[in-house]
Amino acid sequence: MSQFFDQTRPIFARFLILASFALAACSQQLDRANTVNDPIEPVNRAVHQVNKGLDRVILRPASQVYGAVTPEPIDIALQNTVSNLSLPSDVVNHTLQGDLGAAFKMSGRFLINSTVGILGIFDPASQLDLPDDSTDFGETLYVWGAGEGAYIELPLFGPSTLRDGFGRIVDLTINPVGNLLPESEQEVVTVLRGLDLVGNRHRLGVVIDGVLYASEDSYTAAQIGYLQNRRNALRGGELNEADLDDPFAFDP
Amino acid sequence: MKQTLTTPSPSTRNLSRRAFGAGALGLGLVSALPAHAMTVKDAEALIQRVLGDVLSIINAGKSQAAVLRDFEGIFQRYGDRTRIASAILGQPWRAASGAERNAYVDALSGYLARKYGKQFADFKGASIEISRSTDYGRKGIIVQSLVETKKWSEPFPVEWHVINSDGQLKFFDIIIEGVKLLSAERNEIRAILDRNGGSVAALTAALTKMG
Repeated sequence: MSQFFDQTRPIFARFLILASFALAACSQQLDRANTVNDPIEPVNRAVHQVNKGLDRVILRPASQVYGAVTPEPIDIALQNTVSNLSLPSDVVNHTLQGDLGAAFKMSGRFLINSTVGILGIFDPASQLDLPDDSTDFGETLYVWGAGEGAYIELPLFGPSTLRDGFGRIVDLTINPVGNLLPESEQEVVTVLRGLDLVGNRHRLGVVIDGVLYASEDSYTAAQIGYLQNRRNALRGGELNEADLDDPFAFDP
Repeated sequence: MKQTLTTPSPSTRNLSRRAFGAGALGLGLVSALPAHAMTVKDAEALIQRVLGDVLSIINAGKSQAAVLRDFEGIFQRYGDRTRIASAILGQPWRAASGAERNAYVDALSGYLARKYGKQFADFKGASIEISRSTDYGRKGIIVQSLVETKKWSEPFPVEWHVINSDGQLKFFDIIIEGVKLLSAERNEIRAILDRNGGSVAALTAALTKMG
């Protein structure tokens, strides 16, 4: 079975890249700042209910256990290790985005943290002025000019857009770490990623609890949070003037 | 990835250029500027005070009730409560009476202080620094602060939308990792308003029990 995937993956990856160009070409007009494009809202809401249920019975309790038993240095070491493992994929995406400077820096970061930083457990590269500059194929599509596309809530993964959901599939497919490591170590990587997900849920505890359990409509709350956060990150953290509320709109 | 802005390119200053900015934006100019004008330096000074107060509240080790009361004080002192409240309510603001508006503004600021006070209390032991500011002209100035906590390996941005509130600088919106408090709360408040048949008075009553 795994052999089947190993042989088909390059073809699949090529297909995805070609398909992304098509997506880039046809969906440019869908991206409008500050608007929400949600044509399959009923489906998304159903998925949201399932995701929320999974959070309530699995992820949230697991994150509480994680918070109670994990000492801070271990938590930081886990964050460092998992973020180090995504660097090869960051290098690929920075290159595809034409940002060779960032690709070069993230290669250096990976080399330093994997060796001096002992498999990425420590982060000496940040001290050497090589801070993390993570990216993904969703961002590559954005740089290539693909429109955001419809909002989708993915099963298990949560809020996304057509562009980002598609990017996720490509990232999983071209994942250099997954493809180069032997199978036994891939399992370790999967476990670490799972733990990091639980750790993230713990660190974001108050915020996610607020969105899912203390809001009037957790579906729209998660949607607004995701879209504004993601659009802002894609603009390199720069706010658009048009996105700012007019402070004087209701002045007498 | 580095994408440049397409909308009117705002002037962004880095912290390292603060000394230059302070000199260039001379003091004598202030009185001659139109009502909405303010300097980046003034906006940063306001946020510096806000951050100082926020940090001393969350690190003082008081009871949660006392912490939340102190946060409401920050809203009152440094926030433009009326403009925040009207921006969140939207059109129904125009139809509301003066008394309804006042009661709603009070209830909302209590609700916001309780709700966001709880989130800020999560930043215990954090260090917050002003990292850069961007002038958006009529709409105001965005002062970006970076929050560094022991919980996260990377600092994250909290931005303060500062406006000239009738001659005094106040904050109007808080943007955490790109997510605007005004948008998130507009979504909440409109849902509560709908649930209460569009009655601002009923919304106000609901808010006093929430957050």
